[in-house]
Amino acid sequence: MTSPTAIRSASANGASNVWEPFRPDVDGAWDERRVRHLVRRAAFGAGPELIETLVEMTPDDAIERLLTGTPDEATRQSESDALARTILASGDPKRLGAWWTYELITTTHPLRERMTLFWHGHFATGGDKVTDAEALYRQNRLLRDEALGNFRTMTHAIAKDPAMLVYLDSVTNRKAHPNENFARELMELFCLGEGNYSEADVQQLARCFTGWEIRQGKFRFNRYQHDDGEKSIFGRRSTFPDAEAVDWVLAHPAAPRFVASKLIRLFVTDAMPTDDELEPIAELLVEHDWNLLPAVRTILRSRRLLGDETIGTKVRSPVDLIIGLLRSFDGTANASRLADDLRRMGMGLFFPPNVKGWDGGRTWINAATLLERANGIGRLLQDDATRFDRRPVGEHLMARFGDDDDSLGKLAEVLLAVRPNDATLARLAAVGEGRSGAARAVARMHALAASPLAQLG
Amino acid sequence: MKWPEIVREVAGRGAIVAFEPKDEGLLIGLHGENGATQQKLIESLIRLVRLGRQGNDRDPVREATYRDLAVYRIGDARVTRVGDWIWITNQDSVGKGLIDALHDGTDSSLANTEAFRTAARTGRDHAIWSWGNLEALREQAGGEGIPDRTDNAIGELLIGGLIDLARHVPDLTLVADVNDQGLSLSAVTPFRAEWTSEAREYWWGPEDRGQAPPRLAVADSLMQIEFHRDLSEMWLRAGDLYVDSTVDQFDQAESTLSTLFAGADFGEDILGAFAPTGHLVVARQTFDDPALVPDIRLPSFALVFDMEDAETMGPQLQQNFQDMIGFVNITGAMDGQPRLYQRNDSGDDWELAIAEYRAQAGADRQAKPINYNFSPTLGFRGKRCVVASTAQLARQLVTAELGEAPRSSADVSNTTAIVESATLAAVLDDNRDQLIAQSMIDDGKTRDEATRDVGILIELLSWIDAATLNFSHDEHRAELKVDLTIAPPAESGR
Repeated sequence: MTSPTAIRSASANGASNVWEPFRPDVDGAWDERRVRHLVRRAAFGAGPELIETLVEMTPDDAIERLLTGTPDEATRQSESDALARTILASGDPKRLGAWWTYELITTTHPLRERMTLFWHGHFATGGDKVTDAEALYRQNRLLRDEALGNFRTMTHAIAKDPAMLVYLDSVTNRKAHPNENFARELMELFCLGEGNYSEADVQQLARCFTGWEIRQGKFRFNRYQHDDGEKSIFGRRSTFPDAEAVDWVLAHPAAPRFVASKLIRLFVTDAMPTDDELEPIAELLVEHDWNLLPAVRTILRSRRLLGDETIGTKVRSPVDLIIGLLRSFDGTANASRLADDLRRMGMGLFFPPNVKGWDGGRTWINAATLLERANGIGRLLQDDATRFDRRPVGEHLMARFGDDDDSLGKLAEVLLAVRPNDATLARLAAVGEGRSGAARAVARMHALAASPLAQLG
Repeated sequence: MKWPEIVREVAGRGAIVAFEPKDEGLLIGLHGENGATQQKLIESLIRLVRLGRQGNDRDPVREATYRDLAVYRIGDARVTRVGDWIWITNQDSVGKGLIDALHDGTDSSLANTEAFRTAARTGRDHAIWSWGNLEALREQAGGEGIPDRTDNAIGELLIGGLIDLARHVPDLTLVADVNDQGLSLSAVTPFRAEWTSEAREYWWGPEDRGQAPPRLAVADSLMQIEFHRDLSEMWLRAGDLYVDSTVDQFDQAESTLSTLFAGADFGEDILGAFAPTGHLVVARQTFDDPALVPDIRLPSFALVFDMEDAETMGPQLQQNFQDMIGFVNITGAMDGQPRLYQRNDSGDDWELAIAEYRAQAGADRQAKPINYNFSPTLGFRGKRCVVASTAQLARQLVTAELGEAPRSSADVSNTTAIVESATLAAVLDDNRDQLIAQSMIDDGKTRDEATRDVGILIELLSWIDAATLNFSHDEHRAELKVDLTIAPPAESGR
């Protein structure tokens, strides 16, 4: 097996330029448009106040602000936990989806929530199979705690997470019949990707996890059912005691490239990253012993992300579209109905489609989901519970953008990554004609937010 | 002139609202003390409306004369003054009919009908009264009347008898009074024995004499309903009362319940073993053991019946109770639910069979599930049988004394009920965190906003003392009476 140090040498051939920091004097103005792009990619959008604050900072300071959240984050997190505990009393995983939707709308650390959502798709676990809402919540806490923390720590915890093992039908794992589900997903979906392991590796790795059981909703190591004989994984022979096998999988050279690829696709592009893009980020992961912050910071600061050529090139997920819309207007809404709508659009929180999570990118969009997106936005804007900056939607739009010819253009600047051309604006301006000012403003916003351009971020 | 004076001179002697379904005509009459003031008010109103006219708009007020009376049409409203009455209607036909009747008199006036005169006699001592011609409403509905059978078993149990009345009663009189103690509302209809259906004898009782029992004395009661319902008869008549799909569900339930009751016929043998009167009691519960407090705190509830043959039924029901708890434990264990432990408790003349949850060693779950609201209990005292969701309520009910029979102007009270607002407020307060969380998530409110709104709701409830309901009848008249009493000021800060 290639050692991790091989990655360093591979990336030392000038490829690191790809992730050079964005420089406002050379690469473009650090203005409202670019900050909106940053928060769209890193933070589900932001209201006018935060946008203004970030524009006034240097790019590096603005990104640090996103990476660390607000100073009152601890208090905010404890309030969030209290709300979750109250919701858990219902025992319904669907209510948990409503709770998370509320968190996404109101969080003061949106980058951490974005990363939590990303890990939820990575270590996909669904309420359709795991009906214990508390187990799902505990996994969610684990993902949030390590969202910008350490991938090794997170993977070790996931290996013993009750919700994950229930989801993978691995509540029992006896040495006589090793359950291969977790071993297979650990390599294929969580750490390495297809083509980097053999079927024999799966069988041998599965033996390492025998005796790992879930009883009464908790992890239990049953030493009598653990196979403590010698195994051979990626050519190394060992008994792999405790959880050493997880570390050995993470030591595979494909592991940092696999995680780096997913991080780049999260923030930068829907396309498969090139080797030049992959290697430096993979190297950072190895260099910092799987601490995620340096890699994420490098991506967020980069010209590759913040440059003009990247703006408006990624298909927005339903959460990006809907939560982004609300957060851009300091909005609040009925989170239960919103969670249902997200599910209709193909992104039910706590209900990923399968163990692979969401494919993302272009797969978000098809005739059915596009229609659901338009309908969902319509329902959201028409819902009495929806407020923008504590005011009814139409009233807020009228007060902030007015009703003149420029209003649609100003609204488009907030909503869209790419400015529509004049013909599109003229067509959209005709929407809602004959209605009162506020109703017309809502109708125009609906048309704009549901337009093809709004699906890109 | 000040506003209170204007109101007195314009409408100080009362108001009439009438609706005529055929033309969908609405008529409002204001009886004042001074016709001149009424006329000034009409003229001021007309001036105001005309001030709102823009540009070349047509005059928004059209004036006409009908039988020497000036009639003004403003939008859809027709307004005129006759003596010290102002009349407002939305239909020409209604307005003309009224003026004609006032000028010429009429034999076909509502006031000449016996039903209306009876209603007027009933209503004249009350602050507000109204009369409705239900026969006309039924005719208006045509064939879409009240269906013979329902799919709603709970609804049938609660108001099945009222559906019988709604099919036949020709008119309805509503009266309302407000005083220092609160608000009283009453709906009065004629009553005839032939209007009660044979299928609903379970509801009305033999010869319509089914009498609800007196109320039980229960502390922290949230709601109590006392009723006459022969459940055995209802079960056996399900085919006459319910739609086919519901009857199928009854059949399925019969099969399951007969298994649980060791092969006994559930409708005939089990329900038939109880007297046809009972109590439904809902009460706030308190939690003494901090390790067993659920996050959502539900009120406890219970049914209380008298057994026809306590010596035979008591032991049989105890055995069935044990079987049922065993069954619940086995099925619950498959879903990882905690188990119920059984024990007995007894006093001089009562005994309880209790099934309850116990604290689990090493349990570290943050949220205590909703199961912990329940400690199913079966209680006996003489003929009395209590089936309760908690041992706490069962213990109270098994020894609770019966109060006095409800007083009523009629001689049979079929159903009585009370809702204690202070207890309702306390139950909501027990679940304040849940309500706040629900408001945050479903209304998008911040914690501060949600906390404030829930606080206002609970505070508002504490201003009301209780709502009582009594449905009673004699041979000629049925009455549904609701009294809402306001909490005394000293207690309003609860």
